[in-house]
Amino acid sequence: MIDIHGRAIRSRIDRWRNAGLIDHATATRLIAFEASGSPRSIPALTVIGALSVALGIIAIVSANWDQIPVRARLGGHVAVNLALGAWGYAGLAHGRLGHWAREGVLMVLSASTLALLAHVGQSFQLQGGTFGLLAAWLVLVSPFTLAFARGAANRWLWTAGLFAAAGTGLAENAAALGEADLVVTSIALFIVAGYAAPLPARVAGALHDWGRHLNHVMLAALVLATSAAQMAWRLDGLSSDLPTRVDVLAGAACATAGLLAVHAALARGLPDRPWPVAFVVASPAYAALPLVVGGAGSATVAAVGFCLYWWAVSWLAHAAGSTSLYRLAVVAIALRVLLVFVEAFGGLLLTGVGLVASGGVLLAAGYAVRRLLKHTGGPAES
Amino acid sequence: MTRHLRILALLILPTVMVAGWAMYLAAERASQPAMRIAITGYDPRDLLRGHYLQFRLDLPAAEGAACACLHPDPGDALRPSVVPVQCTAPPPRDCGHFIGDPGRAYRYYAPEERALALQGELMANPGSASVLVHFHGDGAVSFSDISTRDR
Repeated sequence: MIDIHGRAIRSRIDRWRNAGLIDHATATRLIAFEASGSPRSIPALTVIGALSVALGIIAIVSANWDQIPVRARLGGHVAVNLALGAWGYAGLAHGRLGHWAREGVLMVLSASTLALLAHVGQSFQLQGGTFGLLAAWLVLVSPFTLAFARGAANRWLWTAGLFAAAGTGLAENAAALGEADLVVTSIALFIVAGYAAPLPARVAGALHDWGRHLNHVMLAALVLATSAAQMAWRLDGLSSDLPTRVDVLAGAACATAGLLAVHAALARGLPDRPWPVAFVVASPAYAALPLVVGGAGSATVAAVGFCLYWWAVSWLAHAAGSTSLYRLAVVAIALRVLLVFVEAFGGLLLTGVGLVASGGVLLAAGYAVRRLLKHTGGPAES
Repeated sequence: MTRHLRILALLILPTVMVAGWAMYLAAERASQPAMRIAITGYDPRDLLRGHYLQFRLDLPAAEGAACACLHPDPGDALRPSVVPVQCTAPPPRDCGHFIGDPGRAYRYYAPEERALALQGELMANPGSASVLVHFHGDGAVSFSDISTRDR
């Protein structure tokens, strides 16, 4: 098999050697070191192969499930789950499972538990919603997932389940929450609760990685929600499809107070770098700002608001040396500028003119940023 | 030993709890009042969404009622009489068949081919289908034994 990962590293090391950054001996040592690692494609193939076999069995059973008596069907599924649990116990208790085997067993047990819940609901023709199913699944699998899972796949499966449960809960109760002006407050509480995850994790050391993960995910959700709000005000001001002004302001106030409380609880004295904290705490208020100072339906306010927000993200990423986030911020600003020109010019001909003009602005901005970074020693070529 | 027990509990208990829930549902179903009721397709253009059939109970008098008591009608075995009641108050004592939101759309899960056949029969012979409704006592209902033949 062609090792694409190995080839990419070898090509990069050759580039460094040709540029005179490393000598021949160092290059040889680096190549030998990378070659000594296990090939990365094999675990991926194992996971995909196992998943394919599992899905195939599920499809065969699903096509004929009414031919099998309920007791036999559910009994078989419970037996499979118990066997997975016993396998996991034998491996974890005696340290016999390797990293991939442990993560695989936990992931299959987690997915099979979700399927078992759905299986019971389907067998008895219960009429519950998706939120109930996902919430019950999270209650059942969170203890063993948080306690034993360490890999990214399990972490993201659980996170996806958490967001799916929150989303379906919001959708299924949208009418009642909307009537009470609590849609945005619910979203705010969800983000703040996840952002506060490192607080209990500080007590329980084993959960530290999970706390950090949830904290980062909720930070991303906060940035996305603020950006989406900057776009949404432009669409139609406050139409009937969007939350009411009271709802937005109450949610923003709730999020600001919650994030401030989290940072106050986490802080040990004044922070060395206050700007990231200020950015996080001010984000909800910034999202609601056009509703307070006016200009909610203005294209200019929306575009400037969005670009300023992502300029702050790029600045913080630059200060933190995070190349990928810095690049993401530059791309987000570029796309928003592009959208401004497409919005400003109507019709095909004028849209073409708008695209040429926006391209020119972006090329000029890219040149200016490159020059600036050359002098300041930035994190990346933009 | 404590560590071993903790690992075992975390990995086995979720399955034991779901199995216990399934056994409880099976035992409860045996004692629940049940009634066969006629059904109509929820959307005549496409009843089948995924592997389930969408339908409504054929109870025109129930439309708009938040909660209702169903009483067997000797004149029509598949269409009980509907008495709207308050949802917040406990159901009246003589209400053996208490149902919340009787006008809503329900789902009947079936394998793909069976669901397609049910949809075909329901569209070809409207009014001929019925389902056995199990009343949980709190307004919730579940189903079994869907049939597209006149009974």
